[in-house]
Amino acid sequence: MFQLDGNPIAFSKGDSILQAAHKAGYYIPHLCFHPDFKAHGSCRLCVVDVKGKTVSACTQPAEDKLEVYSDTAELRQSRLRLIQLLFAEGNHYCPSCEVSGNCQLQALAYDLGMTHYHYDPFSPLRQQDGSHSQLFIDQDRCIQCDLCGRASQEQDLKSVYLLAGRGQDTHLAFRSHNGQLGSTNASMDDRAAHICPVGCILPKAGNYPDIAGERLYDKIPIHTQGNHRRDEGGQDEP
Amino acid sequence: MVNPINDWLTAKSDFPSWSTDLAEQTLLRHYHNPFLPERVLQNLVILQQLFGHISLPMQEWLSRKSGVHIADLRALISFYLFLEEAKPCRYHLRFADNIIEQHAGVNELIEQVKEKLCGCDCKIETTSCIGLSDHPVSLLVNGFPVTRLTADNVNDFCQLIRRGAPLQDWPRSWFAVNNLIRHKGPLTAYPYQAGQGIAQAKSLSREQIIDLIGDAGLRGMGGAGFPTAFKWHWCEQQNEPIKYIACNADEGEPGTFKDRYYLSQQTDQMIEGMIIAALAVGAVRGFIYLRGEYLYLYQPIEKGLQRWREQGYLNADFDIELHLGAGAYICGEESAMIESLAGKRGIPTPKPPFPGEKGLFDKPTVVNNVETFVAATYILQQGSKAFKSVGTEKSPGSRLHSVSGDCQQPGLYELPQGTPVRELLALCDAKDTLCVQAGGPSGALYLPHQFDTPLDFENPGRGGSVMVFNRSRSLMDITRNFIQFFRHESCGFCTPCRAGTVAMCNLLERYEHQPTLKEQNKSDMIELAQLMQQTSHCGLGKTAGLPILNFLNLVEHHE
Repeated sequence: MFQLDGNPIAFSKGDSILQAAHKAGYYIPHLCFHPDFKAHGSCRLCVVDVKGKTVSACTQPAEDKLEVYSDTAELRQSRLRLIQLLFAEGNHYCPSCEVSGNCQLQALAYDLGMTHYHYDPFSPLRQQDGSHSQLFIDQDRCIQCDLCGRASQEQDLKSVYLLAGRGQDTHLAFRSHNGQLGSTNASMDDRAAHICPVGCILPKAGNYPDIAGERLYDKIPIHTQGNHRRDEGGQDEP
Repeated sequence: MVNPINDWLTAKSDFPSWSTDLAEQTLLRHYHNPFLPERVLQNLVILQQLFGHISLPMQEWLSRKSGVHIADLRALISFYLFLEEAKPCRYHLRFADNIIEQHAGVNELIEQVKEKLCGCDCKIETTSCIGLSDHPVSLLVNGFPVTRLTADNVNDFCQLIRRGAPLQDWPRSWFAVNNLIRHKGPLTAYPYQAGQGIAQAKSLSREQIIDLIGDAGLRGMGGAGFPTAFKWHWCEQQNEPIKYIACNADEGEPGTFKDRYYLSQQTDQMIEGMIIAALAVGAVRGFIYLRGEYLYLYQPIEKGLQRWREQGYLNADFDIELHLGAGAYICGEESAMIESLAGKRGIPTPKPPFPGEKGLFDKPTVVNNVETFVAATYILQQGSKAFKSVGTEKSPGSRLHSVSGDCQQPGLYELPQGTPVRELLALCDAKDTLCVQAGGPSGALYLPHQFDTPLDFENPGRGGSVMVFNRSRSLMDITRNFIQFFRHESCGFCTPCRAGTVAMCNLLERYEHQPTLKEQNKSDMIELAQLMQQTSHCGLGKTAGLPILNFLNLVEHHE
């Protein structure tokens, strides 16, 4: 057992703090974590305070009698700033975005009370990829969480997606000779095609199915609803 | 790892055209089994140096040979600055643009060079510190350092390029690196006897070796100051037959060049230290990760390893492999270095697990800095008492400082741990000092009223570099240079560092140009620096905001 904001949480050996909290039905904000896949630790939204140190809950092993603090004013502010950095570094056009209302980045922004970018937008130029017959890649929205890479490798056993580049030029790449998604064996049936927490990996057909007001996060905030994809069914989260 | 004579390591300006035979022969001369997937990064480094670039046919060939997907090769090329797909120019100039070089006039020189070389077959770029801040202005030409380019010789330099003079025919003196020690100490001036430390180690049990290192109080000289004996002990305790020793020779912290001295002048002490560490923990293989900027030291080190092989110290039980980096500061972070050694992009991995438990190829690994291994050899040869006879109680021993900037005597100084900043400034003959940056951009800024601070592990700025700035310098220029460095070197893995370093550069620009919003911009910068410190994945991101905090601190102090 460890304590999360004063609540006792049971865990199994090898669980991270986030895994254990997730199983127990407690929400710690996150974007790059998914219970089905290996932790990444890159988005840093799941930062928690442990023994006077701030660590990512998805990579920090749970330990007995640990006192973990997640829902503090300071950490909420840090998470807000991280979300704002993610918005500033990409090109996010929520009003016209296919996943608006179903987007985990947007939902967390609402949840954390984001009202503006705070940082000057970087307005990067990013290469798009429309080469695949069923999937479109909008790199403008990519947050480099590598969930697609992990899903493709660990579940689809295809290893289609990877991260390349360095620093602010880090970008999603595809394992094909010409570097295009269309030349890989990626398919709509892949788990990786339905794992993107934002609107980077999109189906070409069947977008905007829900009217505003009836989308995933329109009525229920992400801290209650959990991190889901509308097309994923949402069985995996509390 | 067969022949120490490696063609790809010679300075040249004529690159052979692509040939699979030449590529395969070169790689085979280097490794018995060159096409293991984990060697792929080293292969790219060698191909780059041999052919001047890594074209699509080369990528296709290497991908076929190694079984590594071509997209992964491209991911490596896009991560490591010194790997390039584009066809090479005859001369590729990379000027170091650390603040020391900026102050020495690198921008003006680059302008002159650009003007004079207009239309020539050359590419002119800047790069981060190349470990020659005591020889400003320095640059790499096709990977090899030309030191002390000045207004006086820039004409001759450009003439050679205009004439198309082959690099191997350029005056040797232009490539000279001066490793003079201006102040010697125990580590740099004891009667070293090759192999004696190993003999001593062999007469002791593993535990006794580690105890001896612990008794000396040796701490990691890379800058973290972590007790070496603890690292070794932890690795020794792991119940795993395969363990590794890794020597971190990737000193990329701007203004640091102390390891350059050891790597070129005391190679044997470093190798002996690695063998001692191997005996202490029971390691089967060692690796030296040499930064790409030190390409010119590759051959001397490889020759040094060959000597130890010939004498039987390196053998089937324990041998050392030399790896070359390719222009990524982050690979000095130990977990990123381990990734890079395994042939991957240098992205730091989460800790725990720590390398001592799960390091290179998931095996227990001791990672130490070059100077730490040199000191280990000293301790085994001279005893722990001799080592701790200088220094302070918590930071025993002495260490080498790389001193650069506004002083009459830049260079290398070995001083006891705990030597006050003031004393070092007097030794290097610095006048009218505004401030001192100790430990590089991620270290500490000391102001005159702090010059009594001892340089040791108890105070920030522990990486062994001291950059001196006099009162003619602008703190804004220094700070901007430092945070642009971090933006350039962020690996891009985690949000606060990847985006935060860019946002910080933007905020500083606003601070500089919007006098009416100074207070707002100032508090935004402080908040961002703290956010990066608090939430970043690794040490780079955690310290990338420090120059801003130091800067604002000093501005406040002056106002």
